[in-house]
Amino acid sequence: MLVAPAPAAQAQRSCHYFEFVKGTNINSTLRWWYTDQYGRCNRSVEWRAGSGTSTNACLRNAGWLPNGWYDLADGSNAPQPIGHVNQYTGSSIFGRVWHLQDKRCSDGTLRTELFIHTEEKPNNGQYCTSDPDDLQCWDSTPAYSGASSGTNDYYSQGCIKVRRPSDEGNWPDAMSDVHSTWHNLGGGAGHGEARPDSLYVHS
Amino acid sequence: MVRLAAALLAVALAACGRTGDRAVGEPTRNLQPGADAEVTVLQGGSPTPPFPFVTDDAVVHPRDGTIALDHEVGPAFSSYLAPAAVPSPDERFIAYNAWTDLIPFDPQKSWSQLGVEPGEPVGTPSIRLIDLETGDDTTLADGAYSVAWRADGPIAYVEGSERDYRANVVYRGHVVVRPSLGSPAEAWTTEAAHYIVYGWAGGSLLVYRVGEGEELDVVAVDGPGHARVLAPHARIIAISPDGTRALLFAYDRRSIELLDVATGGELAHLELAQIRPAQGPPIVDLMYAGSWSGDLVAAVASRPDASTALTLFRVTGAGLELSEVLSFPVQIFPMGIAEPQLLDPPGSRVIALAPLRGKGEAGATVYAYLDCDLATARCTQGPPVTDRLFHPIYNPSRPTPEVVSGG
Repeated sequence: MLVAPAPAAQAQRSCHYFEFVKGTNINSTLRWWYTDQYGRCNRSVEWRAGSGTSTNACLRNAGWLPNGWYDLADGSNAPQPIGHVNQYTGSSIFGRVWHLQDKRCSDGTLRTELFIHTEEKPNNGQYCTSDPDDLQCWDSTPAYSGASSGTNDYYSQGCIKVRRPSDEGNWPDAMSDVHSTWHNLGGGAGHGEARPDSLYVHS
Repeated sequence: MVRLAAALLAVALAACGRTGDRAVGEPTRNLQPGADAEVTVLQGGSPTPPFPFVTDDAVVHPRDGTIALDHEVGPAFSSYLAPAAVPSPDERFIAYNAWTDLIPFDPQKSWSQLGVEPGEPVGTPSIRLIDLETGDDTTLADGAYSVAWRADGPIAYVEGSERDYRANVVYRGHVVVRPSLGSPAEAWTTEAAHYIVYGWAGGSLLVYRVGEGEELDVVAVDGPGHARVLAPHARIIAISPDGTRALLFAYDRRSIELLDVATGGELAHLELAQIRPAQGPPIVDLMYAGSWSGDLVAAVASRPDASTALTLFRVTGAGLELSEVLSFPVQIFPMGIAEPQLLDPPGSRVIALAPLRGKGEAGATVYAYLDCDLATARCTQGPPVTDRLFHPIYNPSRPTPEVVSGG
């Protein structure tokens, strides 16, 4: 484990949050910060993650997440999710999710109803068909001609996405690792709870 | 503060084009199918864009100069998906999306860092109207956003179920229509949702319904109580000049689809995978808010290296083909380009918005307009604009007044 200061502006805050470091839309980095037994702020292993299809964070439905801090959303944003849940049943998003607060980008545009998630069924299984882009399957489809297998699903409309194995590829199970890290290293045992300052996004 | 110099007032470009000025039906230039090029960017564009733009506090108009607005512009819900500001069909008025912050604007901070409780009011959208003849700047509707203005007068927008947007609460509302500016609004939707009005396609209103994960469904609203999903998970590229067809990008199906608006039937489609530029990286996505003039459609495409391309499609009858791809280097345009507007004569010139490197007002980006000659692939870049936002003012509704009056 690496020991390092949290982002300077926030070092005084509780050290339990995801950090999303922007690289490209399909190859960015997600990691978890936590406090060890000596009170030091450590970062976990890190996972490849994607967000958006454009680097303009003000494009709704296409841009990657705007920079800054995010709370986990409260349940007042009906119909469903509250903070982190394991078996979310949405219309496009399913399974293990962290529901993020709405966020304004630098020009004031409001990005809404965004999550950290993968592509899986509500019960965390997979439903893969011959469709190159199933909603509940991490497909083997490459992001573009010449890209590696299983990279197209890193694209999103803005949500942060991490990979998991499926019928179409035995990739490392980043989602399960994210999930267990969250629960074991300070994210809390609970589900369905709002939580402040749970994600920090930056370039 | 108006950042663009007052000297802009002096410049009026007689040849400037506006969306409403298009001569529909003029022959387009003879593009080479599949022609690809990287644009050459020339500095030194006039401080007055050759097309109307809006900043966070002013209209910058090639005919009328810089006009300060009484209220802060803020298309918080509809930015880029639909125009930030829309000219009236007679071009006397501009309707613009305004926003009132109820808490300090600091996009770096979370709600909790701002001391905002979930459900607490944080902002109020409104639609305002600036009269270019008198300078009067008045509220058209409070608790409302996104405007579509039909050539024969009806004006549509979204009226929120509540006046204020509250933190993390989906801002639901109804699509409403006023037959004219002075008429009362009538709800055309029966189910409240997070809608964004885009434009009129003849008598049908095309709107987005925004869902989880910012999924977009394109909905056609034909009258009070008559809404139908035209295309799920899709983006509107543009409406045809006669208002009968719409070109959409169905992003889940990776398909560019030409639809008959009245029936929803598909007239033609192109798979994104079929678009293979001769130069540069492949195309991986296609954006909304393009434009359609004559038989040409301009749309912005994304590439895996974060660069963008201007793709031009030719629509012939019920046929659809890629005509040209102009690449914009990521080193100069790291966030790409947006909102391309084809000017007269069709196919010769495009005005677009480009976010640039650097920090402007309140940590926002810096912008410039691009004036691109398609025949030479040369784009003249305007001076940097440091206002919080900068968008072209356009009316995507079709047909235009000229077509309506000319039959």
